[in-house]
Amino acid sequence: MSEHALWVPFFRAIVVFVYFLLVTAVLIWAERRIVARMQARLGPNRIGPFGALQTLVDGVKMFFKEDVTPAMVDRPVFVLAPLIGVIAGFLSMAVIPIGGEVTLFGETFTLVVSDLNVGVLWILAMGSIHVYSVFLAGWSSNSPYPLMGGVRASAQMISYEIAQGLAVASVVIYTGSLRVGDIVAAQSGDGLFPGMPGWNAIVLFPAFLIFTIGMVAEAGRPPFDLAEAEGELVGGFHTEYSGMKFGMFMLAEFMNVVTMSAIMVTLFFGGPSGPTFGLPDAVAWVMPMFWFFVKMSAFIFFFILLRGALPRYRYDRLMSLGWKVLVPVGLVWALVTAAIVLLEEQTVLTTEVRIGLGVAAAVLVGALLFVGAAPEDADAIPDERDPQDDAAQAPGAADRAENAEEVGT
Amino acid sequence: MFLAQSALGVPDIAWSSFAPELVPTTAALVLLLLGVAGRRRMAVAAPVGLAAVALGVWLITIELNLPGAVAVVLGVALPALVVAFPRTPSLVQAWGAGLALAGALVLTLWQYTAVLAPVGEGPMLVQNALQGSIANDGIALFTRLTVYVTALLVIPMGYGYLRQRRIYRSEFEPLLLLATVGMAALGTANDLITIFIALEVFTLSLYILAGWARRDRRSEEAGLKYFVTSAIASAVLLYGMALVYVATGTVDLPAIGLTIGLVTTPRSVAAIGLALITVGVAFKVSLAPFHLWTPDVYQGAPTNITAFMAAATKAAGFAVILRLYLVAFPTLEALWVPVLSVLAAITMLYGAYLAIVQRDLKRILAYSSITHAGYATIGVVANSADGLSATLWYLLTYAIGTAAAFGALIALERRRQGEVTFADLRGLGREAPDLAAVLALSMLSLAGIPATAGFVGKLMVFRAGIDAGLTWLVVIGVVSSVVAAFFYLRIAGVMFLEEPTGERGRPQVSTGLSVTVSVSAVLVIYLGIQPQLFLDLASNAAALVR
Amino acid sequence: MAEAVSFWVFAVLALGSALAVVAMRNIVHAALMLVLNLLAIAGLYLTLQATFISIVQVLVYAGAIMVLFLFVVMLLGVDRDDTLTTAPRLTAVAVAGAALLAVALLAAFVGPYTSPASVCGADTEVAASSDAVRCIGLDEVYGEDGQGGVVLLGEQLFGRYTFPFELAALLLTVATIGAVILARRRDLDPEDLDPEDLDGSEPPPGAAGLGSTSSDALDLDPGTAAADTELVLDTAADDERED
Repeated sequence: MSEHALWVPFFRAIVVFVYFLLVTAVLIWAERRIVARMQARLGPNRIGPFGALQTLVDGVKMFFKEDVTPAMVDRPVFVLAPLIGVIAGFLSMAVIPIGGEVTLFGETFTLVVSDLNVGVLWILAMGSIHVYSVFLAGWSSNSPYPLMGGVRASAQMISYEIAQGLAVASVVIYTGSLRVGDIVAAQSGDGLFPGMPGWNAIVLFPAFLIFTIGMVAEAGRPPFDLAEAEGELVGGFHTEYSGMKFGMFMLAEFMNVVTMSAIMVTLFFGGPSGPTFGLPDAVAWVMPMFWFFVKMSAFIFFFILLRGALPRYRYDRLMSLGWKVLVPVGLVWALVTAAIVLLEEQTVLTTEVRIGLGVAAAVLVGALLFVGAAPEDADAIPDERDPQDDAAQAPGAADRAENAEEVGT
Repeated sequence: MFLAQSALGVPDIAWSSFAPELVPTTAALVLLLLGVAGRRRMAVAAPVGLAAVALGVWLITIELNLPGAVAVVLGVALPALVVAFPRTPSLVQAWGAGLALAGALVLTLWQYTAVLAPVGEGPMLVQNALQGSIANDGIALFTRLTVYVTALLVIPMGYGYLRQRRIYRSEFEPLLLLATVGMAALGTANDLITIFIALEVFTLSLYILAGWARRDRRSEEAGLKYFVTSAIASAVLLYGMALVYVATGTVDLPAIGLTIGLVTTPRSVAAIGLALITVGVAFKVSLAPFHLWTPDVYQGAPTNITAFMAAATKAAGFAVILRLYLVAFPTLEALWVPVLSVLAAITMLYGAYLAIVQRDLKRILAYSSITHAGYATIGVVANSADGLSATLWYLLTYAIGTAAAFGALIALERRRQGEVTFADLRGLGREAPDLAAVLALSMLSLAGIPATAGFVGKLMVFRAGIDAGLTWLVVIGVVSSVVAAFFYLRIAGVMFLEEPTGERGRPQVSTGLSVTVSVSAVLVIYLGIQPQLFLDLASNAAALVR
Repeated sequence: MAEAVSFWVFAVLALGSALAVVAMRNIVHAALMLVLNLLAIAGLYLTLQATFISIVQVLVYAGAIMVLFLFVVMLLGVDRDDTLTTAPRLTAVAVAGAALLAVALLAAFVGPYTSPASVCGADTEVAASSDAVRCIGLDEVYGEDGQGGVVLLGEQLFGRYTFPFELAALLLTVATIGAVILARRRDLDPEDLDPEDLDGSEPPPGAAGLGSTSSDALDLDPGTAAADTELVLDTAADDERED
């Protein structure tokens, strides 16, 4: 890597940065259009063809709007919070390859900022740093709704981070490397039989499911957008924000969608790999970028559909889904993956045995998923709790009981 | 498809080296499961029992008869208990935990006779297992004995007490077992990492146990105080360990011992590490001036927990002190012997002095435990084989005497339903002579009166001190003993010489309590009159993995 | 060169933020400085080429532990400034203690660890009389690893350090039990703690072995007894407070 000319790293960084920023801008527009269509509205349609330049105009508007900072806020943290979100969002893109090998001015390189040898963990780490943004925004606003939003968001993100981490762990165990490049390479061949893609999403289907649910929760998108929940919490953690700071939160949220989709594609759908249809080399380097874009767009579309189709989840259900279903299933699946890898290492398995094992494991995990979830469904009515119980959640804080009570529910 | 999978050999595991700990560990996890299972207890007990029996049979077929028998007995006992006490799962828990501890004791003795018993005359054999993580030697043997015996005494002792105070929870026995395992593992730990983790296992359990009575503010305070001070002590200890690692480049205690002696090792770094480690472990065994948490915690914690903390924690703490100073730092003797001696002197005098002015019996016993930490330290600073076996023996006798004392205290506390003071002792000799006799006996043993176990222990420790040329320290020890004898004997005197005041009901002695208290009283007398068997064991135990 | 620059940047950052943690009056600001400190230390690990440890430091300490810490601070509302005031005398003692430790550590480290021999790659002889230390770098180990220390760490954890690793599992079990107990809002009475069970009809453990003193047992009515216990202890605690 180090043998490249000096301009290569800069070039890669700028390309990746601009790429994701553009996709984010398109996403914002696309989401408004698609959701509008789902709700039988028109959506933005004035500026540019099909309103495509609306995002740009909105950005300009945000930038020039008065940036109100309420008097009671903790100013340094208040300013820092949106920045953390945007920075963490940008940084997590650094390890995602958006295309294959590219030859430019005699230099051949992969379109990724840096293929760290612990890239997968880098992604998770940046996700965990992102929590601070929401959390500190809620706290520094010095106002009840944002605080609740912040507390909700951080609890939600931490919980789902664990589930997500377990899903990623099974990918790592299966691949045997923490390097994103290796994970992509391991998926580029054929699957169990020729013609079938060797994507992790197929082999590690339960992990894929967990990661999908986890990523929606991590991005704080509907139906898991409890942190902003405009119906209950006004705007949640960003209630007190306005102007460009608010814009940064918006940017971070949408960027998160893009990043999460990109990570999903990278870890479970082979990243930029895909057939080149025997194209000549001069053109073939475009194909990986094309495939990556197509796969990522599919997931972004999935996010948008979710937002348009599903109502918001209840908070306690969200937490119990995370802790009582996803975490145990993820744990068991990581164990199963490890066991299969161990078997694979020690004996040579035939395809039939592999498929048999895979099906057995899938049944096991599926059973866990549904058996585990069954009692949860039984209490569809919100459980009756007396307020004292909720106050007790914050032990020794009787004077803040009312606060804790709100937060706890 | 699989990249960079390194071929990892499975390390050889010497199961026998930590077999005694396996039993309570498994028991703790199974009992937790039983607690979770609720009414479906049998669904857990039957398969687990079956697995244990199968394991036992397999062990017997490969000629490991005693461990096999233990597994079979426990495997049969578990479903049997569930059947025997269908409506009282707490009894299943208590019995299960007790049996597991008995199994651990059996395995400890099996380990000694089968693996470590001395050939002819001379010290016992030692075993260095699990790539140096574990050392099975005298310290390990005695720590296991002390800790398991104490836990075995504490469980029946506190059963009725916990239920009467309505603080019984099914997690109690598992936590106690895990604490015991942590202590036993600390006794065997032979590298800094294992030491630290084992230490944390048992202190973490004790934080929770100390704050067990959540409705009682003093118990809550005890839990919190113990947690905060002990966590700081752990941090200091860990920092010291890190510095020692920096200086020596190894975490194995024997290797540290070798490396520190080399000229290439920067001694100043190692010395700072040693200083911090000393502070850390002094906190854990409450040597003055690091004892400040002890009285409050001992007073606030439920009494059976206090008994366990006082008796077993001391054994585990001194195990790690002995191992650290005798194995890892013998070459820095010039540094730690004076420091520890001064600490011991302060501890003995200060503890005895403060014990006199207390009126709550639990606080008196807390200060008494501080004083005894001082006596035990004399054996450490003697830095000799005699000192080692004296300390180990001392800790065993102290643990049994303390367990008996706290057992009697539990009975009194159940009557009073609050703190026990001298007023409650008045005339106890007339109301409940057997209980008063036990309490008096344990006081005599703690005071070190001849014909009790405590006397032999104190004699051995003092002799080791004099042999090591620490006469001044022994003199201070004797002075402190005389002062301490005052309040021990005062307790005995109040019980037998004063008249009872008013009608107070009688002390509540449950069967479990009476058994354990009687057993410890018998042990106190037996070890005082016929100490030879255990003295031989103790002198055999003066063997270390170096 | 790049290594030296990043070392100094991260080192200054780590020290400065550590000082700020202690000096800041607002607990949330202090916690944020601690986060910065942890990140700076992660950066120092990175300069040592220990990428795995570095990223795990970010993930676990900055990403999980500190978030939980802040979470509790927020939930309990202890973020008011006045809770952090300490007596000046205590501050003086603390500063003196810290200064003593700092001086001792400086004295211990500056000599041996800054000598020419301690520079990795230098083949300077270590004089037997001096305190100097030879470099013990991780270069070779990481060199053949290529995964930022993951393989090395795994082999150590599942080879040499199996026993403490498994003990750590017990530690986590204990911590989990403790957390559950502390978090449980109200103690459920164990199902067998009905009053009729407590009247002595069920033999306590040890019954099989003995019965000599069981006649001494004089159980009060367990229900009232339990209530009284807590009452007595609570009032006792109250009394102490008033004193």
